[in-house]
Amino acid sequence: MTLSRKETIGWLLLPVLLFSVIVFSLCAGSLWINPIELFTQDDLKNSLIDLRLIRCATAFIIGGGLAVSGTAYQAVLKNPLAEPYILGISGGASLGVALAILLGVAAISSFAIPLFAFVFALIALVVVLSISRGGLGGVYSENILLSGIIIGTICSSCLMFIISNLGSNDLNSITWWMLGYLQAADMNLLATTWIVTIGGTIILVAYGRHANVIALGEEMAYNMGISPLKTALILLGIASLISAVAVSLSGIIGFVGLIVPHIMRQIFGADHRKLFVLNLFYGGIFLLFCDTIARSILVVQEIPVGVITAFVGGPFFIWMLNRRGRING
Amino acid sequence: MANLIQAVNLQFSYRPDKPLLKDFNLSVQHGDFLGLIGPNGSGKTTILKLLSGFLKPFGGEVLLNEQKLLSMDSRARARILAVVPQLVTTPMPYTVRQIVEMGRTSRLALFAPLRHEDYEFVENSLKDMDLQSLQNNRFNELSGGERQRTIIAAALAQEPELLLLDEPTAALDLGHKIKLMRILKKLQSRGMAIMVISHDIELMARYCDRLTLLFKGEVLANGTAAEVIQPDLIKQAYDCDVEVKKSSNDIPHIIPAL
Repeated sequence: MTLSRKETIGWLLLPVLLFSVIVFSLCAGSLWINPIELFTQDDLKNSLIDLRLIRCATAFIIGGGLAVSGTAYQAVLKNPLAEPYILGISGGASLGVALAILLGVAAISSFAIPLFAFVFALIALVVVLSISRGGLGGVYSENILLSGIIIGTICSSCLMFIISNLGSNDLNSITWWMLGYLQAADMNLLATTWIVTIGGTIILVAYGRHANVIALGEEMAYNMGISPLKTALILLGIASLISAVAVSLSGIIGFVGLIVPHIMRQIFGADHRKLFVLNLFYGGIFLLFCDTIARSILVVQEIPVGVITAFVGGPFFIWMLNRRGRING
Repeated sequence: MANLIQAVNLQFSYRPDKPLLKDFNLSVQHGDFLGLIGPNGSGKTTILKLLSGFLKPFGGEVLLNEQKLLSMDSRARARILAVVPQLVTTPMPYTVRQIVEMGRTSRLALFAPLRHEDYEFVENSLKDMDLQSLQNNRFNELSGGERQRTIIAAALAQEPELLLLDEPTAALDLGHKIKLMRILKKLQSRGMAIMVISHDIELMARYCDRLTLLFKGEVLANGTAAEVIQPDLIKQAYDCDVEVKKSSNDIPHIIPAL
């Protein structure tokens, strides 16, 4: 098998970009650290680097997870515009997190938050699919997007209601979390996110060939010897789990699952066995870069990373929607 | 000879008050080349979907190699039966070769890469469908006929014993139509059974060994082209007047009335 020029450059750039963005994210911020100083023994700087390392690990896995789950949704729903945020999955998961906090179950175990997020993400997905009546096919794919936006809006309204009943102390932190906050405070949750995202991606790669076939449509998948329903449930279930843990840890960060998979497909083609791995890495690099910009652009205060991804992703979504409209006639 | 696929008393409807199929029976044997013809809405595509198991009948059953189709493992089924549907679309930028390679899915374990024999089947399928020069082109950027040939190549790569095709020649030019029918004849000579749905009655008459004429979900006539293509049967099924003439090799030709 020969790689195209674009693909070869894409693979060669991956380690270079990964290393560069990690170093950039460790150095940049309200206090710039010279790259050479990263390995010196200065207590103050070391504790700052430790904090940035945690942030770096959080941004990377959240970005990777969102891009991987977006790729899976797009294959199953035959819709390149599908991603956790637009489908209302992130909204459902965030409502689950807020409820877990409100009901006090979050204090019982650190697994309660991702569990609530996962259950509500699945509920949101089932409701979206039921409303759109699209099943797994692409015929009703516009309905799926509209249903996702409606469910996402309803979840946001419920979330607002919960927030309006919180005390002012919690208000600031939950607002930051809602806009996407990557300074993980709970190391157990961060570890869970890494395990779920890496484990989920491995399973998705195993089902990569099936994801390829299912993107040809339910009937073709059936004719080629895979069970469309079983495969769709596995792919959607894992994608929702990865999105849910990402939301539990860092709130709602939109459009990563839209932008990165689209660019990956243009460069590397549409073989999902490769795409899931590439999206994990490039999704991680993308969000890590956005986050570093978000906390460096203003000297006095950082910008929530969700704002940066929305600024990039919103116009990108409109561009894709227009392009689709032109292609479909 | 044993039946490769057999539909036994199939019953099906899309609306409860309007049954489409009532006790429908049909069988295809090893090495058969059957053409299924009939007017729009006569149930041809529905029958194909019932035979593939994609639709489930309300009554009756389909037997594949004398096993109940619906209780078969999906991979085992796809190794015997391949289907070419009417229209396939995807938003993904797959290449022709990628889609043809997907035809090998039922023969591969989850993580397994394509083996030497898989590549051989893919190459042969690309060659049979005249797609070698297009193999790295994107499926979405092909013409309707080229897409159709890609999907047929993917079905051939499945290495099936029985091939069901729904309007495979609808988007093809005359040259590729004839080429496809010749390839199907060649596959038949190797022992593959073939069932084709088409509105091109004369093409079916030329290449199929047996024709089944459907009308309102029932078999109106079944037999050789000369037996089925009769002016009165055509009038009954299609509600039109035609004259039928036979060529020297007994192939019927339809001449529409003025």
